[in-house]
Amino acid sequence: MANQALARLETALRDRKLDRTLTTALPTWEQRDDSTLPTGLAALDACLRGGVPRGQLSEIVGPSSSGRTTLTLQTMAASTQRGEIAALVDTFDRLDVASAADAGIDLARLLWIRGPSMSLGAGSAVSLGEPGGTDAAINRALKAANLVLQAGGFGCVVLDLGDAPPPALRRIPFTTWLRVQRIVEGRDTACVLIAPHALARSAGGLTLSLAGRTRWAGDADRSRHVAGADIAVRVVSPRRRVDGEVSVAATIHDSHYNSHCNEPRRHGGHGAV
Amino acid sequence: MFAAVYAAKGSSFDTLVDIARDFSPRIETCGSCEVVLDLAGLTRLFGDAKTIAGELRRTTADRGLRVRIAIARTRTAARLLARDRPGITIVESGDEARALENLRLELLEIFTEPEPLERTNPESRIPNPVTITLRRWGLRTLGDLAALPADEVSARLGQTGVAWQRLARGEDSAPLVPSVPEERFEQALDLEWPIEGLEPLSFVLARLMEPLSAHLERRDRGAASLHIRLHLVKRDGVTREVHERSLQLPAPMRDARTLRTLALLDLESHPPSAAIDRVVVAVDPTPGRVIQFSLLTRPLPSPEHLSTLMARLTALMGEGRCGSAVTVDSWEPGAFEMKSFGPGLGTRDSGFEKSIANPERIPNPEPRIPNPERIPVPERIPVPERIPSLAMRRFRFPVPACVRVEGGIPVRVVSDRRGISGGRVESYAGPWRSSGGWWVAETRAPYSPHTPHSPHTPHPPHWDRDEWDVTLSDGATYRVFRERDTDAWFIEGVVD
Amino acid sequence: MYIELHAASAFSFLQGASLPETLVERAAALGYPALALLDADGVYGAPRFHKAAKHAGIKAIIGAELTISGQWAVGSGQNRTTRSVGSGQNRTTRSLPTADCRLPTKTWRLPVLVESTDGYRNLCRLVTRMKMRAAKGEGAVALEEFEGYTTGLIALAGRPILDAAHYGVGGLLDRLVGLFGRGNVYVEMQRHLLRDEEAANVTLDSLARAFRVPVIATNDVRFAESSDRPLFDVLTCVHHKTTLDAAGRKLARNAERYLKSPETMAQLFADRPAALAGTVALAERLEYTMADLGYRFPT
Repeated sequence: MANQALARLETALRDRKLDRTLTTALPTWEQRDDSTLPTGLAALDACLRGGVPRGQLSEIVGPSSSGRTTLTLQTMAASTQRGEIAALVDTFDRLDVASAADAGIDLARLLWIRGPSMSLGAGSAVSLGEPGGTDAAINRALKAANLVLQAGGFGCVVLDLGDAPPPALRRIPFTTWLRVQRIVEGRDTACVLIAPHALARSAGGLTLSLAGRTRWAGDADRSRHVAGADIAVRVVSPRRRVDGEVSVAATIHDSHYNSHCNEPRRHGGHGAV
Repeated sequence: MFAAVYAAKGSSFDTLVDIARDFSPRIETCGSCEVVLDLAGLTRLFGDAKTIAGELRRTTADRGLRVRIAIARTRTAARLLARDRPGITIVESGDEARALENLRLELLEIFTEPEPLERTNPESRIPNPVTITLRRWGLRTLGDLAALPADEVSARLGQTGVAWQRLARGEDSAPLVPSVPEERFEQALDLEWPIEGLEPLSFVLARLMEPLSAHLERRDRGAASLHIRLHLVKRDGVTREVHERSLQLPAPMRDARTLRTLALLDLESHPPSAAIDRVVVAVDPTPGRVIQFSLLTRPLPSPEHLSTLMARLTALMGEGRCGSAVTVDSWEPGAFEMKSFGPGLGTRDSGFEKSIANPERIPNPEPRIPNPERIPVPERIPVPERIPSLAMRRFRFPVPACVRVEGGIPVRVVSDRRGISGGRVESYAGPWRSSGGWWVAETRAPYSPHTPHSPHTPHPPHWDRDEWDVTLSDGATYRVFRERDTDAWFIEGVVD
Repeated sequence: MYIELHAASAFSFLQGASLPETLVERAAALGYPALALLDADGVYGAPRFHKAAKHAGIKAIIGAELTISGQWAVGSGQNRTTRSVGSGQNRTTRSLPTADCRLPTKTWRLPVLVESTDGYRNLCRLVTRMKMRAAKGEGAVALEEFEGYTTGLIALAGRPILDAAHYGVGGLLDRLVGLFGRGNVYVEMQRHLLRDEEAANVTLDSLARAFRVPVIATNDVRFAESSDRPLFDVLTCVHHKTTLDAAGRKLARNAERYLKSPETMAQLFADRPAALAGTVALAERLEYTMADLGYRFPT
């Protein structure tokens, strides 16, 4: 496929170190209409005909445990591995750094913007117990997203409102989303919103509606474990004429934290338990 | 062919340079009173050497300069002769050595000392050691020096001596290095009628910044500072004044829009007091910043943009809330560190390698000749390709939970946190035991919402817990754990 | 019931926290009829272990954890040479990638148990060979060197065989079966209450079934009681020349590598009674004890 050939060409250029030149002129990137950010998941990218569209506001929606974070981290990983920088506006400070590293994100290229993390009291100025606290956090997150989008230069900007209560989301005026869409238009940034339900995708953006089920393995008490998740993705994007359903299987990453668990401890090997 | 023009004391050097440039595009300035012109190709334009010299003399005289002119095949010869002889001296090609024979040895010092011999105070001038040596040897003229055998000179005076000897013979040691004329980066516009206010001014500035920016780009320069001169005319129509603003730019830039915005922002706070009828915009150039540009990846935002963005984000979200995450070498669940989001983002390769550092999935087995004695590897064992790893959303401060336990196994999990409905446990896995940090003196109480924790590690450094993965009746899969010391249950995160 | 067939004492220098005597004492207290001691690259602890076990009335099974050098073959892989393995009717042709350079790298540990006097002899010879050509504290055996020295030895194939990077899926288990014989290889399965372990155990199980090799349960014991875990962590720090704060993930992840009671192990492997029973069966096979050394004096 063309993508494979392109990937091979890019690898060849990189190997021979021909992918870099010295210049004093900053090149301008023209916005091409079909410019997309591939998510790195082959089946999904095929269905989306490339990936998440740049210059548009897209959204990944679904209830808890539907796979939103998994897909978003994968997209950010694809973006950072291509050398771009990504930004995550983490409204309620929910990012699990180990999960991000396992997904393959180059953490040095991810700008992590953390909202308040506490539920009550100490550690942050905002008390989220009352509705005012939640709204304040959401507003700050929106402002931060606007700042990041206006600065430009990011390949992927994710606004994580996945844990926002739906009433608070309904209180966000629609004009706010219009403003975000206007800022992102014409840039080569793919803006992704995580939300419990469809909110605000731009006309050229897409909505990935997720329904996920955790996959369990093992029958007995001692052998049962979470083996992964099956994520059913429903793609909606009228303007781009992309539509369909895709299944993504996620698995538990046997992190390198653990692979040396029982392995020998010496002789140039790795540390172990 | 070269012409050396040596101006007398008190002459305006700029005028000399201007005149020289009128004659030839390749000129070299030597010190503050001498100019060397490359005459190659000028014979067609002006005529022979004598005509050129005559023209030069006439033009300089018209401008009020008294000069000595010498034309020779080499720069060295021309310069030496111009110093020595008044008026016009023209040396035919090949005659340089002979023409230079009788010149004083001290003249060679002009090649080491830019200022002319007469100008410096004779008492304070430091004598050139080579000249002293040569005088001691009894040499007086260039011809004397030129006549010495080269290897002897080299043996006694080294490379310097050889170089001097060459100069004495009138030989050039280096080609002419043309002085590039000073360029001014300036744009001006006279307006048909005076304008008032910043809005119309912004249009004018836009019009001026475009060509300026293009000029900067062509010359590969950036603007280090921006000067705006507004010529104002007062209400009476007669009185004029100039409103001048100078801006130091944080980094060399040449984007027209940025420059215009910065100029307007500054003028907003320092507005002109009258109507404007002439606008002049000038920049001080510096060499542009060299950027390594990759063909395959998108350009990163410039350091100025990034630092501005980080400053704004920090003001909005608080200290230490924005940056890059760093994984920590520890078994402590949820441990991480923050570092500042830096422009030195590493090469693309470093990101690539990091993704490979995570252990591979089991790759395709090599094709092997099956041994009838052995059972071949069955296809049942999966050979996966790149599969996404399941992620978790973590509660930075674990949520206290109410868990009903039967036979050591959690059967019901609820919490009072809005958004976590909880419910009956439908599937569970565990316990997964994790402990560590036992050597740290435990002085703090374990999780309590009101315990102040450091922003980065909300967990105490000592932990001993049993974790469970549970899918509850509300449809979500959670990771919960029980503190073994206190038997308190918490929800750590949501598998999503 | 269950018999612990994979334990290490402090004679695995800086990699075990309990003396052989302590392990024996604990085993006796827990009611074990037998215990196997597998120290790193040698049988240093065997005499004291044997003596203490005799005193306590426990059968002392001997073994060792041998460091195996994993050799990478780095090359184009395009030219393949064939190599004949085995002899006579067992002759097979195997193709190997040509190596342009061999990198000595990642090593792993192979636990072996001694079944007979021949086994002990072979083990000692392997260890001697390894030690004689290496500096003190180092040394490794290549898998090829086992050829001809595997009689009387039982190999335990655990998590290291899952490293498919250079042997292919199941390739390492295949090699072990080839070297030791199918009846002399056991897949060892461990449960240290670690989340990522179970997926690996599933793979180990399928590999064992594929190669028709029995599975036994072990606990890879490093210390006698779970309260000894801090000492074990400190020894690890000494081993890696670092401090507790800086050791990071070199330290133990939990304290489960202690000599558990047969009842606890039975609960842990309640879904795999065959793995538990396998330990008893294997222990019965392992008849060799240090009493069978049989010194022969010159005559």
